[in-house]
Amino acid sequence: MPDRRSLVIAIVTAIVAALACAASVQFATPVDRALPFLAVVMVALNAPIAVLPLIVVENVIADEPTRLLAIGIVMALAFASAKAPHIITTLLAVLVLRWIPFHNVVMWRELIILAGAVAVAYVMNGASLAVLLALFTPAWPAKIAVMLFVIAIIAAFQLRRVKGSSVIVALLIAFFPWSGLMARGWSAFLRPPHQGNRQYVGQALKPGSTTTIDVPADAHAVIVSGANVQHLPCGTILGTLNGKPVTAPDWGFMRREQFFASRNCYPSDPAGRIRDYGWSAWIDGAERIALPHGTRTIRVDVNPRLPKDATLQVEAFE
Amino acid sequence: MIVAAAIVLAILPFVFFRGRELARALFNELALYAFALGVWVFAGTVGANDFDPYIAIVFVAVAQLALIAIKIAATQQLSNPATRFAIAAALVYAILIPAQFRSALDGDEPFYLLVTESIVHDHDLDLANQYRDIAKSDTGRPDLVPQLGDPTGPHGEQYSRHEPFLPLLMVPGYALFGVPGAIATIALFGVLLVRSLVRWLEDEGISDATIRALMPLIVFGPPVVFYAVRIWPEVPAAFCFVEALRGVRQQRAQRWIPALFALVMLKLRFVLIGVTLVPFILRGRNRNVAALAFAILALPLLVVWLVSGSATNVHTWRELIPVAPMPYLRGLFGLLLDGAAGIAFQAPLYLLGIFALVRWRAMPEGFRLGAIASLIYVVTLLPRSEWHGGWSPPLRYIVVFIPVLALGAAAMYERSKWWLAPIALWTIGLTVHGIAEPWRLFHIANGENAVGEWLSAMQHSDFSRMFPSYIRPNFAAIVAAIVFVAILPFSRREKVAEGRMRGASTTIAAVALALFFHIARLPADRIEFEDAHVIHNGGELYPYEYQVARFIYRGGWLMKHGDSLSFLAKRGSYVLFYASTQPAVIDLGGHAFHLDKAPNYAMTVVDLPVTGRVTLRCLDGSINLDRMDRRD
Repeated sequence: MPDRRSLVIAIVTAIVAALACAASVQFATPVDRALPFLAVVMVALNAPIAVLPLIVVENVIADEPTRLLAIGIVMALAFASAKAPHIITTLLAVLVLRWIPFHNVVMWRELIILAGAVAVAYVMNGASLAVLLALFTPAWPAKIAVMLFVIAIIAAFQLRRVKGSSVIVALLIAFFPWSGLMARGWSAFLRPPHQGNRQYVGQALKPGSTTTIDVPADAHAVIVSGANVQHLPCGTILGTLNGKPVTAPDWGFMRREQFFASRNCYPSDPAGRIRDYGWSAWIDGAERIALPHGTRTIRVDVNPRLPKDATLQVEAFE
Repeated sequence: MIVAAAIVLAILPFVFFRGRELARALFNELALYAFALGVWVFAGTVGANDFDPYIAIVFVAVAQLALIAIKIAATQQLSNPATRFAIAAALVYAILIPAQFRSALDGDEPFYLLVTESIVHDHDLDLANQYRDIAKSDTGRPDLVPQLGDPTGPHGEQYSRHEPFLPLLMVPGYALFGVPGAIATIALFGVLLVRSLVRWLEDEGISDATIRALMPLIVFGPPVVFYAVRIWPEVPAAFCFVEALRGVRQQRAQRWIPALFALVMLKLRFVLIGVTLVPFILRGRNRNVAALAFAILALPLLVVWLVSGSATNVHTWRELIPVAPMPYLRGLFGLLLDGAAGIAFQAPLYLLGIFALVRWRAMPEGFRLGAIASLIYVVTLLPRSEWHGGWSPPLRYIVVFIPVLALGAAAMYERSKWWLAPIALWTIGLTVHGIAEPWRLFHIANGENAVGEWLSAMQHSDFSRMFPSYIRPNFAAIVAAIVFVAILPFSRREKVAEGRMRGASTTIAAVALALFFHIARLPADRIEFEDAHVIHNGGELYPYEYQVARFIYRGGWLMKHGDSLSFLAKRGSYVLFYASTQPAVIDLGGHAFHLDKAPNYAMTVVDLPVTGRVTLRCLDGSINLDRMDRRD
């Protein structure tokens, strides 16, 4: 246990570091605005030196994804070199991974997960498994989270000999600005979403409806997605496009509230965007469907057997 | 090259560790690669691509080195560290040589190589034919012409001002492997320097733990790492100096005689070190030794006289005569604190060696001997207008003293441990920068440094003014000098609790960094028109980048009719310094100003009505804009 003087020094250091970081915030994303909190985490990890590169990164990298990734790497290095007890490391890692953006945190659900992770870390005498569990545990529905952690704590007694590594925690922390993506969109690592030049259509078609849309010159693909179809199994045909079957996931199936209940799959040719930050980060379920060369019009027929509130959305041409 | 680097990094742990420690080090290495791979894949997924892949690869390689260095510091036992660090240096320098070929030889390097070429091909020192056929030279510099004031012979011979000993040393390497072989010769001296330095630290009673903690920063950090893989006499000189010091301390003539001989032969200026060292050599010795020592000191003068017709070559004895005190102060604080050429920013570890001077009596005898031996050289260097080294990698003129500063830093390490983390972070940054972009090791000495320029160009605000400059003295230079003098006495204090100091140093550094960025974004009181923060639309730099002895000119920006520039400024009254061979009209913030002809620099008062970005246009004539100072 640190003596009282060390504790006072640490608290003062944390406050000053947080103030310095607060004064350095240049951008409006939740991750940038969380810099003071991240500074406190670094001091708590006994790696206060990492506050310096954090301030530098915030001030010198303007490109948002690059800056957020750099902040993640600095945090990862702080966790990798941390000399804090496992329970503290776990607590801080879960806070960093799941409590940003703070305004999206549902307190009682997250407290359950935090307590569960700390318990696993305590039993395992290591942070790796606890942090992994905390990352992948859904907050919706809460009973699943509770069940998962009960099982994990029991299993942890058997797994105590398995040694974790701070590298695993560091690797997870490096991507905390998009931790939701890590938890729910791992397929994106194999098939990252990308967007071309788009001409927006913005049509939502009800079951049984039919429409014909002119294809702009130079368009080579159409972007589609579903709405209110997250409960449909993976591969459900939403309709046809020029006679060919169309499958697409729900536009928001990767949102944290919907993901666990959803039966959709990640698009085979993803055209979505990364949205939101931290554990709220997700990719919309836009699917790209290639058009044969020279296609001038598309005829879309929506499957009449879809649920009443479901729609097939023709978003754009690329 | 990437594969070679990976192989070297994989071998390095085998140099230092055995058993479980080796396994752990290799695991760490693999983990870092896995981490880097993960980041790379993730960066592609989230679209984080605003970085140079080559710099990223160099960063990972340097991070691996840092990881190994941390492991070396943490290991309990390391037998024969001198040899191990020397092997590590050899491996790392070997992969750095090709990395340096990303840019052409620069500064004095091509001239040294040209002399080597002449020795190998013509068996003489006459470079006239080399300059005639410069396109065929291995220097890769078809633009190379004799330097101003280079000695010439009666029959059109063209000699180099540079002493021929270094080119002579490079002959075997060059004859066998060309330019890489020549550079490998310097790297070999780098390896020898590392080995001798560790031995010297051990001789002077530095603990194993301190050696393990500091040597990686010395071996793989600036300035040694850059001068060891480029053609400069500095690293061979540092090796000779440390060997001479060891020889004197051990009273071993077999060691100091060849070392002193090679040292003074490398560069005439090193004779000043030899002169100071000789009294220590002669203590209690016979006349023969005295005669030998003086003969060694006289030899380079003789060689230079034979080559150039003057015993002092392009120098004069007058340079040794003391001048007014101001240039000494400027040179002294410049070498210590200048943002572009000072120890504090270019090799901060050695600042501890400067603080060691304050604890003179507590320092090892070798440090005191080295410091005294450096005295005349440093005193003659300080008032020179080229104290910063001119067109060369930073710290050129004091690389020879790195062993002494390293010993001082090692002696201070125990009471300064808390500074090692920020020093290491900064050193990693310097190393990555110098390896990834070797051409940026050279700077035009305009008062800005690489970081200041980069930030200024990116944010269009004057970040350079936040770094102390003694090349073009600024307000930060005064503040830095005062702060430095104020904290000097603290280095006399006995050891302070590490936790307390670490917390305090981090807190101070974090606040300072936040203030740095905040203040730097505000408009400045002085506008230097050639600086990176100014957005130039037309016009050109004055004097041009490769002007010989550029640092003695007043820098500026040449504008003619139609050119414009813009910058951040506060409202108020300013004094504009300019030169113009004809009357000129400028528009500043919407107000026209008629400026008289001023072949030599003149000044005029101008007003800016608002704070913010201001545009200056040249409406008529041409003008050399020097700077603009706020009056209130």
